[in-house]
Amino acid sequence: MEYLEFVKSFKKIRKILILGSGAVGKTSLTKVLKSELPLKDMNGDCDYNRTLFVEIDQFKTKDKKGTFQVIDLAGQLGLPIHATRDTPKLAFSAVDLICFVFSKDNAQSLIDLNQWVNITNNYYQKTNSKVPPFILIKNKMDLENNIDDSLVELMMSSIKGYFEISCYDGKGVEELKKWFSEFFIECNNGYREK
Amino acid sequence: MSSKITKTITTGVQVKCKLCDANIIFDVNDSASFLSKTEHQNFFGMMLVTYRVQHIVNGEKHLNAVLIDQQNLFRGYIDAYKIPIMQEEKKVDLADFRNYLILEEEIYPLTSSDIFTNFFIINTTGWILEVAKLASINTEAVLRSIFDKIEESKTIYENIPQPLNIKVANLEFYIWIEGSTHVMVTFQKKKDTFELNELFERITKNIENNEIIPKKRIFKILDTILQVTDLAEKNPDIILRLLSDDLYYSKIKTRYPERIMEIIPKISKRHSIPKSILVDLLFGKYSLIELFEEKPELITECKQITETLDFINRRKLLV
Repeated sequence: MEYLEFVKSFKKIRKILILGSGAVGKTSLTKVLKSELPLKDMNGDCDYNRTLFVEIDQFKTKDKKGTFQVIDLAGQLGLPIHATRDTPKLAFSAVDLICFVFSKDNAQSLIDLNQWVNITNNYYQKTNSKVPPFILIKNKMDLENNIDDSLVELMMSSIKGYFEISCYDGKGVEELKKWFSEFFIECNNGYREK
Repeated sequence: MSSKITKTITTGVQVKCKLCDANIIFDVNDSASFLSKTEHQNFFGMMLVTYRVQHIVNGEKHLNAVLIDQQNLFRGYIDAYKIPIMQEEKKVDLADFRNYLILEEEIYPLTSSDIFTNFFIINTTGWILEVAKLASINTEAVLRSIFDKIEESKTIYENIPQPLNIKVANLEFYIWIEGSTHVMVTFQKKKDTFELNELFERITKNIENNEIIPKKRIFKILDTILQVTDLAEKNPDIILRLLSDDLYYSKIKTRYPERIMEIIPKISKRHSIPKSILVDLLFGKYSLIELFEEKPELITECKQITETLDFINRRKLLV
């Protein structure tokens, strides 16, 4: 692990895992962070394309010096094959940050996070490794709200940050990207201090 | 969102319809006041339940699935949609049962049962289902007498007691009424009236509120269920589901038939269901109702079999 940390720090690369129910906008989030354009300005690229198993992508920090590798898992836990069960190491190992995503118009997607958090904690417990920090992202802020804020507050004590964004119109994405860049520096400083 | 919580009275909950903002009131302790209830796992210390509720506006049913916490406070909408409702059918002349449609006349009613001697379901929009009847009975004449006495009861009581006890000739009928639906039963043993009262009340409400056209085959199986299981007392929800869920009538198709033989041993072990039954069901040899008709001894396992199908269905293996 020490060596892996060294490589990540030296190569300036950090790994992010994005989790949440289907159709909450996990793949769109990577897309807008990478392109720095909201979905509405992507020439009609707003259609829902379901992630079948896992998508691996990357985006740069604001200063373009660091790279985030993004592991984006299928949101349907009921699929016969799922990365959390069949290739958990690919999904969970060496992760620096986990982003739990839910959608403002879908209360079920917030409730489902309970299951995602349990799966995540179980993996790290079983492998006796440190649980990476979590952030919570409420996507689709351009849509109608169907969730009482008190439900989100219940998760606040266990997360490192909370963001409200809209991948469609770009609202809040800049702030999130800024936070990612600061987190990147924090990770590297943390390694150097060690 | 908190403005959506308008009132909380012990077990009573009032929420706004997401579609039209009208108030919908239901009672978490009264299963007749909502359509369904789904309990969620503990959500970061909060116990949440989804209730499906409905109200009718301008010829449409507005259905809302609302999230409620352990204090019966509204916490969000899972979904909301509307469906048109059919114009109420013209009621037929109550006195003239010849105009009524006899459902599934081609299937013989039960003539010998340890539970019922007669069991009729009548909807005054114009249909009759004869689940069980004594061979010597003239249904039309019996119904005419019963409905005369129901009319008489309406003049006597402000709210007719449920079940209403009416004696016709030497037959002691117990009658549950909800809207247009009338469930009429004569029991072999009087004690069954008390033991099955709650179940029959729920069956009547279920038929009326969900506009179910009951099927004789499944009601005949109900007779065996009541004789060989304790589900009426311990798990009436399974019985209500059995009486109305289409899953029991369809032959099962699986998404991954080539993998079925691999998973059958695991499912069989987990749910204590013989492999041969799972093979018959999962390869679509029998529908569940055919299985129960063919092998009535399996009715004692009906809870486990239903739970097994739900287990498979939750994993999205069924088409």
